[in-house]
Amino acid sequence: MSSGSWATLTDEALADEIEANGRTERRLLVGVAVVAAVCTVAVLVLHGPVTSDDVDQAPGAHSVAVR
Amino acid sequence: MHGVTVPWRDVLVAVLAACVGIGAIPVLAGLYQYLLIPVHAFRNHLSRAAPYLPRVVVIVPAWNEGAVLGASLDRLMRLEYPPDRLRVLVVDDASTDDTPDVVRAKAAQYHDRVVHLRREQGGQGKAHTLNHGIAVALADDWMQALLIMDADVIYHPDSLRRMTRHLADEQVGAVTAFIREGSRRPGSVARFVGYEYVTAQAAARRAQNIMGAMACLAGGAQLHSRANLEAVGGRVDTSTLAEDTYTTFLTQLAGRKVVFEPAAVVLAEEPDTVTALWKQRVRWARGNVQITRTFRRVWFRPRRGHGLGRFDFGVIWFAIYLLPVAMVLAAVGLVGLYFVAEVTATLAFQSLWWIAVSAYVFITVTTMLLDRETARRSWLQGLLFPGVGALVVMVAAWFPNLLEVRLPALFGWEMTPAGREVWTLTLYAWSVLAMLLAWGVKQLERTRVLKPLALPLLYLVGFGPVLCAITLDAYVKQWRGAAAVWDKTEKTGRVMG
Repeated sequence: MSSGSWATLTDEALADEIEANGRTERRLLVGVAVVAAVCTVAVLVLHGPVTSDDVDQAPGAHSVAVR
Repeated sequence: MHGVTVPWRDVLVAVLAACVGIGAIPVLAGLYQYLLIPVHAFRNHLSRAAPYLPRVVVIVPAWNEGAVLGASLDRLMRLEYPPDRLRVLVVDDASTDDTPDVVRAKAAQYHDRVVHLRREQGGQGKAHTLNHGIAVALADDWMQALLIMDADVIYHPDSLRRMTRHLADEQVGAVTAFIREGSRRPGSVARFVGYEYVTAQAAARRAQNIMGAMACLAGGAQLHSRANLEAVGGRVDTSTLAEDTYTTFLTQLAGRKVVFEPAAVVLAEEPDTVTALWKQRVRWARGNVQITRTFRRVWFRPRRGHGLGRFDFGVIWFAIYLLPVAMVLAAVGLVGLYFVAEVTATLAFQSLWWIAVSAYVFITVTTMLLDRETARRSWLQGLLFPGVGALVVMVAAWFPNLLEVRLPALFGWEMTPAGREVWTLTLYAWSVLAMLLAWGVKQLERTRVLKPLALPLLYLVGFGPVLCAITLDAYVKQWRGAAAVWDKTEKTGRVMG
């Protein structure tokens, strides 16, 4: 918009902008949530839950045996 | 009577495990905040916004801002906003540079739309400077809304009108915008800050919109309705170092909403050295200590008129406020468990970092996608925000034995038992070690010879631990009663025009 473009800011145009911003917000946040959730779930599924089986292989496990 | 045998070892293990559990609270609080963000897609204040272009007075506090002020005023004058409804008051706090000349030139260029207010006795700080301008603005009935900004920030042309539309709802007292780091050639620290601002504003403030409790109106972009300004006393607080947070709380306690408008974008220049960042953030953190004390009767006491007393808001506030304490407790818990119940220590370590990895993935992906412009500029700083060291700890927790056994084995190496012990304790104590190293970054930056090492160390430590260390330093300064002075963050006019 150029200088003086404020003159086009009618109530109708401003209301349209509010609606457009609402739509953008919906699309953006739904998309973000889906991608973030998929990435996180994929990482968690690949690893699986923390169980006591992991402890045998964990950093401290060796020193338990050594002591 | 038979004597009762107290299982002291079990008690100690339980206490240490609880310490590790406390270390997980800030991570879970951060994750909770991020899980609220998608709700903002359907529950936001846009549904109550309406076309509204009030007569706005912009207050620009200026102390030696000659380098940045001209561009800021030019951009203000080019806002897509009716010119007859916008006036700018530059409150010159007895500047000793060419600020008065710059403002006078702009006043001549834009006639009565830019006004120069000179304080001959300056140096009292930003809050006093603002109050000088607010008093002048309130003395005239012309003003319907007041925008407080910093001299160096650049408003996107559509940002002001995107803020004012929320004031059409009389329940709204104030509106804030998304401050984006906008330096033309940002260095590493400024890029870290840019990423941090997406987490702390574009993300956290959307969540706060949902909770109905706003932690802070950004100092460089706070729009108040006249009614709200009068209701909070017609002035900003001068007794604390966080006048913007103080006003935010007063507004909500008076029963008015504070709204964050993510589509209103404002560019700002942020510190690009750890030393400058430290100075700025110690001031902010000390301000938060003062706010926490001043509003001590607000926390965890839900009220109908505002959301500041909500349980979740309180947990998030104190999770940030006490983050250094949580980090220390987590390390103490893990190291302590290592010596009394090593298997429990391993399980606690893996569980804690399992949560941390989940949060890291979710928060990083969300942050990068929320503001792609910042993601393009700061993707490396986003990925390395917790620090290379913390990422190594995550890998060690996620893939047991990878770094201790399998990787060295590729080169025919094997860790000695003593080496393994040191390695394990380093992993367990990393949250504290990182804070100590963060302090080292600042010290290195001040030396002439070792200065080049500061940046690699910053990436090793991460930006999060630097902020944690600064907060800890602020607590110490506050506890020792160090002089609370308002140190201005130096700006050079690097913001993209």
